[in-house]
Amino acid sequence: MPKALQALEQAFLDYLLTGDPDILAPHVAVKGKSSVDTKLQIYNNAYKMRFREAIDTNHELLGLYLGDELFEAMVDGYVVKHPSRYTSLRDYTSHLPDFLRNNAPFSAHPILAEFANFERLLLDVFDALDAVSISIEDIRMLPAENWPEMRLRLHPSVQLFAAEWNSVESWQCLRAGVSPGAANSQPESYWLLWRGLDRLSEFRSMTADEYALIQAIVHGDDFANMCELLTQWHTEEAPVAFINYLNNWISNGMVIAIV
Amino acid sequence: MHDSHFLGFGLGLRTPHYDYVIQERPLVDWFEILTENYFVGGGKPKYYLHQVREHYPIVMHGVSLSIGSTDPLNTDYLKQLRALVAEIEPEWISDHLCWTTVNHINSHDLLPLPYTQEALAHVVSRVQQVQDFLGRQILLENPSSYLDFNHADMSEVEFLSEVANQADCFILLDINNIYVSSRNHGFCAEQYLEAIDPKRVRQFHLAGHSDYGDYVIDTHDHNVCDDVWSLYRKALMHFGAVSTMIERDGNIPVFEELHAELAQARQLFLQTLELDEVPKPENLVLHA
Ligand SMILES: [Fe+2]
Repeated sequence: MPKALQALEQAFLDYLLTGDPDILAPHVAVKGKSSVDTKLQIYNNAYKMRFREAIDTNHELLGLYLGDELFEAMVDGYVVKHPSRYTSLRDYTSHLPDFLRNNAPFSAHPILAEFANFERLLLDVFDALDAVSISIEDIRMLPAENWPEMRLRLHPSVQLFAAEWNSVESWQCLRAGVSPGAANSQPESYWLLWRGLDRLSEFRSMTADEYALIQAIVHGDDFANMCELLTQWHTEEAPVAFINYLNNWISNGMVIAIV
Repeated sequence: MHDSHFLGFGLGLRTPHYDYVIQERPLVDWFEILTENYFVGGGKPKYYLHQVREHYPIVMHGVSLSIGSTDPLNTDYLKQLRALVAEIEPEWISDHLCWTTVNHINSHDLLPLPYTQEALAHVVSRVQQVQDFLGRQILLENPSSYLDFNHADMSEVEFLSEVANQADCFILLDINNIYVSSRNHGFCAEQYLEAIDPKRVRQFHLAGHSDYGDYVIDTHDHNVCDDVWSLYRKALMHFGAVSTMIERDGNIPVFEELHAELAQARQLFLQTLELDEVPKPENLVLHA
């Protein structure tokens, strides 16, 4: 093990984490026109700037929602609390919803964690693996007697989101350049996110029955079970409702296999 | 005049230019991609990359190898890198002579090494391990730096040359980084160039920086400045025909503007080497 190198790298990182120049300054040569302090400061500024940019890039509207002052407070708090253990800056912000949920002053506003969570899911949708979606034709070929035992496989980009606050509505307002208004808790709302056939990330709201249905797909339930589940909302027309949902999911590229 | 690895004049492939490149197929000899941007599962980045790869040679440029770190080599990273290499079949791959992580904490920065015998032995053995794992040679780029350590056994250029010789790897020489570091540390940029063995150099980077007078920061958000153009001329005189590209990562202009800047590099190349046309790349296989 190269001991001196290891100690120096550790000192450099400790300096970046704490901002205390005395940790690294004794190792730095006096050269060129700038002072040792300036040289050190360049690295410290870059360190924070990089994470600030990652948060800003990954959470494009959270900063707008928080306003400058709270955004800076969030960046300062998060950078200190969560040194990166990731290769990708994309993953670096993955603890941000938890950070907002658990740390004052953000924890007093539960909508913030929810908002950040929604943006995290949009990133996951964008980055998900590719898979070939099936078409309506593929499903027409299946023998009717096999239907009750059939199961669906969803595209890797499909994500579900349940909101207790008007977080998604606020996100939509900011996206449209409109003021989002006050945070309100509201009856649970359900959202479906996926990457469309043109590779754009999309999302739409859904009703409680569709939300339950997609959870059942993820859980591995077959068509018979799903129709049974739907009778809670659609007493007689459960199979019709199921076919309608199925058509919608398939034509939007959300289904990759029926097995 | 040139070795068979000469690719001509390339640009960094950047997200805002994806559609332009695919639709207009500009006359660019090759593109350099930022390796880690394509470690995602799928979606848009991969889709565009494959489209571009059908029409252009690609070289891969990474920032996460952390070759100088005292942490163990990141095998997950190396596996992803090897898979992307197999998928894209780049002409070559590069990363930086620097370190990024320590004790598994990632600074996400290209941090400078102390140029000691101990660090040299460490980096050489890691380059060898990486090359064995990938089954190919890599290029290492000279970093831009803002501080230098006070217990060095050699200069940066001596260190870089020794790494290349002992580990048998190649060098990606960033002309702008030489300029930036020479200003920050007060060394002579031309002597730096002259100390490098031309046989080891496979690629040049050109880029813009931010000049604060007493120090210069490598921001890649400006045009290439006159001092860097003149250093490029000197590099051409010393190294001959080396594949050249312009890096732009901030303040990214429309594609045509970067293309015009690249034409300036080509012009300077022809003048300096007293050629009528750019030598044709050899042995190129497109990915159709
Ligand atoms: Fe570079």
